Amino acid sequence: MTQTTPTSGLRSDKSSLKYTQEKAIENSLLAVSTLAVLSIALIFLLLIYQGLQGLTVFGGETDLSQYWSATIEKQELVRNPDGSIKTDADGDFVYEANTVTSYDWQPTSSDTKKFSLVPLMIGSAKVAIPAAILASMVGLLVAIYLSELAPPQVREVVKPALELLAGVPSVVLGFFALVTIAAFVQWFVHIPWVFEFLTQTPGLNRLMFPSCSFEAGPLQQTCLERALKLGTQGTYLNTLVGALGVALVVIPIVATIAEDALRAVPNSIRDASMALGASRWQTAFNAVLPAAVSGLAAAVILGLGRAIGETMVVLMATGNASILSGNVLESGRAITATIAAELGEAVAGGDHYNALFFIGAVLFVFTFALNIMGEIIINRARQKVREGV
Amino acid sequence: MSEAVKYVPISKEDLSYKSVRETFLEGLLSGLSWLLVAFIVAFLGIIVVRGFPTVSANGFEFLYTSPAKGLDEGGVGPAIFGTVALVLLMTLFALPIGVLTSVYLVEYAGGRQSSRIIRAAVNNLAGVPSIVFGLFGVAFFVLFLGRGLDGLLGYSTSDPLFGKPAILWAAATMALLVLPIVIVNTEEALLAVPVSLRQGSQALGGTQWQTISRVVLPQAVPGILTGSILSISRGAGEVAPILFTGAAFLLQDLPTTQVFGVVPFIDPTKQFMELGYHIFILATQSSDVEKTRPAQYAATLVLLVITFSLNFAAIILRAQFRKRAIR
Repeated sequence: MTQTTPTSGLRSDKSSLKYTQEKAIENSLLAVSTLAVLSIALIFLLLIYQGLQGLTVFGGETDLSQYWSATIEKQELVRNPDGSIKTDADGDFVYEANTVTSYDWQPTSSDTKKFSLVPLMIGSAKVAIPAAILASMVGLLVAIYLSELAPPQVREVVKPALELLAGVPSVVLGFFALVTIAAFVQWFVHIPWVFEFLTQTPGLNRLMFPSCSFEAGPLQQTCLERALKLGTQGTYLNTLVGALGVALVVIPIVATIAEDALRAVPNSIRDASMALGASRWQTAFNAVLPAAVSGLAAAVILGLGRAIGETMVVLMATGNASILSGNVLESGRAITATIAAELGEAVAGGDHYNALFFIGAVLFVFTFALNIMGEIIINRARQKVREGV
Repeated sequence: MSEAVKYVPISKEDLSYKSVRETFLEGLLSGLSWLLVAFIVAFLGIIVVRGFPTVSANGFEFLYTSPAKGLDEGGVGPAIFGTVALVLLMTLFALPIGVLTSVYLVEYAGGRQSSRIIRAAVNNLAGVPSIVFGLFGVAFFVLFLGRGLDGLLGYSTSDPLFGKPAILWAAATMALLVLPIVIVNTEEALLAVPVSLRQGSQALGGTQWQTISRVVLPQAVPGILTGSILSISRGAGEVAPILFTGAAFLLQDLPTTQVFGVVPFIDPTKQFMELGYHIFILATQSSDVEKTRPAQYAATLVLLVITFSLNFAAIILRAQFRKRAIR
């Protein structure tokens, strides 16, 4: 809105006090406005700078591969050819030192500190992907229903309820996930047929519980039951609980953006479809939906960004054990939760501190890319609507 | 707009395969929506039912007493005070910067390149994960600015004044997080002020700044208020940014100081207890998590009441200024 340019009387007399004053005000406003730009640039540069500092401390030289895996000496049990554990004359287990590649996040380990991002990325993915899928399904369907099909009386109830959910602080949803959703998930996996299905199906149980992937038998059964009942860390918190909690954060976001996208579809498209004899359902799904598809895609992308960046729910509800497991019923440690749980005890400027900034930079770049992508898609869609396509 | 499409109920006589199938599918979608509503109601209901007895016990003493016996007993008085102090300081930072940025964007920059860059930065700031703000707060505010100030003022790093987590830095971090909310709402309010008012002011010889400060801004006050209330609600609920920049587990003293020996005043260099952080600590770190469950529900209820009433106030204000803008 630039309907207001400095009045011409001022422009003609650039030496006047008034003109100087006005110019000074405009320039100081510009200076204040750049604070937003400055802070986002500063956040980015600081994270990258501090994160790259971390790379130089590992053994005194720059080594980016430390963030992927580490080669370590590990004492391992020696096994006999028949698979049993080898013992010496006194009946003690025999160990030998092996060089293994470790994918561990153990930044405060007493011997070799390990900074592999692999378990953290798995943890984040285990929370964010199921959460984004669930929230997208619910959010998109509710948005389509509200915008195209629902009678106004229903809209007037569902919309405020969604706004209410959007206003709930994430620490409250984290608390709810920790108490109620966790209990629900426990109840669910203990329904006899669910329990049987998860633990007895050959293949599925190994896939879901890699930590119990030894020979079938009573030992494995105990391991599976324990893993399912308590999670491997002796708690019933796992990434599924976290994902359900995060989905509650993301649903209102997806629904709001998707509804905006559907509202932006011009009515002429609806009218044309109806005039051709299509039902409201056909109009919604065959005419309006294709026209709004890019906006809906943006809703999903932005929702995924939010799911990856969510901190408190993940910190409170996932159990936070950094283990390599693809199973959503086992614990997981997400990037956000790692920073939140560990920054307090990391010494400023130390390896651990720098490594946390590095993962913060990774998180920032990732969410930033998703946000930019979503924004570009939305802007393109808006332009298309404006051009009347 | 979708409202223009009239809601036409499918008539009962029309029992073709198509309409039966569509009625069924529509029923599923409506069922999903109602399920979501029922879930939200149940979720809030559980917190109210479980939390209210503890909050209201002994004449609502939960609201003003301090935690006792570690964190096992007592109320959330200091946490409520800390939350209020935090959002007050945060508003002091975020409001002027946010409003001035919006004024520049709407009244001066228009379609210029600078406005596009600023707007992109604001949008992206809104998408930064809250824990990243926490990281930034520690590195920039506490360690860089805080230690820098200490160096200038002659405080040592072993006994710092500013170079440690404090409510000042927590509020500054939170201000960055809510800045986009203030800017977006103020922009909307400024755009709603009719052009004719600006032209009237200029026709009477007002300069651009006179027009803005005496005509446009007063008209936009409700919108600016809406933005600040929404940002306060957000700031009261966020925990991740303050985890390392100033929130404390358990404190005996409020973050206050006495100016001239009498006037109580928020001491920006002290740490503070905060409601959201208190819930997190109670639910995950207290010695007996099960025993403090009632207090956890109660603290959650208090936080929800605070954020919901702020959001509600913002919705009413916004509805009013939108109505006025249409007139």
